Amino acid sequence: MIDYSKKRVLIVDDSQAMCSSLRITLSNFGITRSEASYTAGEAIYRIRSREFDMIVCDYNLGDGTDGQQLLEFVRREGLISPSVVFLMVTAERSYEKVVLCAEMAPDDYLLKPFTAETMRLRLERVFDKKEAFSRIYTQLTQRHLDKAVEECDRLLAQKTRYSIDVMRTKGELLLELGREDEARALYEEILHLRVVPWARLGLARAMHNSGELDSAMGELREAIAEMPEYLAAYDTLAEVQGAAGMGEEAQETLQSALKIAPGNLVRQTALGEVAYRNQDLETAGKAFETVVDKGRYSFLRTYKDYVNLSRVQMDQKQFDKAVRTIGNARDSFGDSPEVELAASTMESLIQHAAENEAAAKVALARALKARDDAKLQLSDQVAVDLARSAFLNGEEEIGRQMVREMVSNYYDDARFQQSVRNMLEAVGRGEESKALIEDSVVAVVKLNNEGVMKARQGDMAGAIELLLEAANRMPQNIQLALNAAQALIVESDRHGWHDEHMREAKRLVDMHEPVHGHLAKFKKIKAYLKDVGLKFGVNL
Amino acid sequence: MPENGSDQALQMATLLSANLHDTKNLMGQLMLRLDALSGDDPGVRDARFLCQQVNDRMVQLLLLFEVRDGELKPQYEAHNPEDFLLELRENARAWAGERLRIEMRDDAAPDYWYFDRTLLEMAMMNALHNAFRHARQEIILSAGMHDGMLQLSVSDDGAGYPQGILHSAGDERLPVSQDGTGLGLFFAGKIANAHNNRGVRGRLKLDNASSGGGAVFSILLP
Repeated sequence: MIDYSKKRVLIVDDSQAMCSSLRITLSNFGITRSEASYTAGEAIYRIRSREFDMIVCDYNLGDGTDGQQLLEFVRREGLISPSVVFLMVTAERSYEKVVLCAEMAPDDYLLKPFTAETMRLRLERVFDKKEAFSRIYTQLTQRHLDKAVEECDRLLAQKTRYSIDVMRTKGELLLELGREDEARALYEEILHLRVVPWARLGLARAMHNSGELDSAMGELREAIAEMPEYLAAYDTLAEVQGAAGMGEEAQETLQSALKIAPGNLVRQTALGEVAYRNQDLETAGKAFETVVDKGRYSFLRTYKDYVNLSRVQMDQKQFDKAVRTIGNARDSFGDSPEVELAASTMESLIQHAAENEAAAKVALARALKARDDAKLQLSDQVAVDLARSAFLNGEEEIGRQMVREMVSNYYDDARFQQSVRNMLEAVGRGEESKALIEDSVVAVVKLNNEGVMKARQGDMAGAIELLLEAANRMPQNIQLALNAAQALIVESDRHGWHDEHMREAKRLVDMHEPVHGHLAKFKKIKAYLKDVGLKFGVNL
Repeated sequence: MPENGSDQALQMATLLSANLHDTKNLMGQLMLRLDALSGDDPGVRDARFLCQQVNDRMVQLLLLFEVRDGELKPQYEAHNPEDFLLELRENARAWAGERLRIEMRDDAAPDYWYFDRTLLEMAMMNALHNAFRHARQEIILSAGMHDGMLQLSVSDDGAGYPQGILHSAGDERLPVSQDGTGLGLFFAGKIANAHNNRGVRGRLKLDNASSGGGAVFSILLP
């Protein structure tokens, strides 16, 4: 039996009467610790400030958002742990279609009207399922994804009634771990019996990750043809199209999805970004305007929406508007260093474009100060923008230094290098781009080779010192990280367990797993780390 | 003016859907409020049963629109048949009280099966309401496999279906009857038939094959 007396529940419903009915019903089950929110924004605030065991959320929230968006937001942002029950309540039968067509599903949903008995049974079941999954969740929260897969297998072997849910979870984990072949086999096994939308999407993702873009697109197009409202398939298709360099097609795909569900701001932002990359300023501007406008009261809003919009306005030479948009961002989001950096960077670009040199320089100085004061790790877009502004506003040396750092960090990412190259061309430094980019790449490769050479010659201490220092200086550089990790592990393998070094190796591996887990070399190093751990009987 | 006509139709549809939304919300509150009262009182149980029946009719009304506007389209999700029956049984017990035993047989049921839970709930709930009116002592809910399909059944120990109804199973025409039985069976047939897996369709099966000759209502799902 589940002990309901300790469960903390949040009810989210814009109807106060329904909230109170639900509270009475829950209290008859013994759940007395319940709170109610009448808006999504307030619900997010409560979810951020304390822990709940269950969220009971109405789909129709009225204020321009809905329960599904709330669900996707709290799960994607990690605001609730996977063990928290999310139960959707809705009067719309069409919600069933939403569940099938979305990437994320709640643990269960109840269609109004429902009886207290139905609700009680559903609660018992979802809590029972959470209990069955608890060992998987423990591994998940510690980001031990491969151990989580082992737990899935254990549960599957027990032949519980949850096998189909376990398979869904396992498929997602395999994809995240870069084990495409296994993911593919799993999805094919499910699809063999029946066309299950999420399995189809998973199969397409596995194809995408193993580089078979055409097959992935084919699978997704077929899925959409069969189920024209399959929104998650549109999103994935647009992603694959983007990766295949088919920007125009990606834009069309997102536009079709937005015709079906115009209210989705996350997708609207994605459209703006794709359209901007396609230099379709009109579409990009409209998309970002919608995001800023509709998102005004939404929990989804961020200062980045404003920065995106102002960038388009600047390119359209609507400088006053662009400056006003940045001003609105400052007004709405206060003065955190991130906002200050992004806003000032953008402002310096706008003022320069408007030929207000002095204002541009002041803004650039503010941006650089924000960066240095808070020691911010720059996001790709902000870093490129800031370097651009430095070149335009007479701080060439800072610009060059930033380009060197960026390229060193991502020296094997051709797409990123292309965007740096485009930026240099745009600021009239095209002739410098070859030297700047290639020299940086060469410098890193040289450093990397030196380290590897030292390791080959048996100078492990020298190799470790060199590689580790470089890996920490260029935290996004995967090759350096893997070579550093390898040197650290080799040393322990040959000369006995070195706790500090092995933990450092593990830190590097864990840090890169989410993005680079699929690389063959990554898998090799990770397996090596585990083997050496086993050899010395240490569980890292 | 055609423009105006379609505008008006659109406005009408919006009003209808807003009204329905409210009705369902209010009905939802009513049901939960009734459930919060003690079930020991037979008057409360009667009220619950009535509320269920009003809901049945409302749901049928909505289905009528769906059927009129085209085919019913099930939303398939994996469900555990045992859980599904358990929910029906517990709900039925809440209004059946002491008058009847309601039992379950699901030993031969698979762990999960793909079907539209809401549609099946409508069909089975309606069958339960009918069985409730005709059963003497017992209603049995069962789930098992038949010809590679999931079979969900409601059987009672009453007098069985009259011949007229047995013959009409699978009839495409809308039945006209006073007590709603005919309409319920019509929808059950539609719902069963709408379920489709790789070309195999579901179907409704009616017979009087329960041990005492009582009615057996079955839906087979591919």
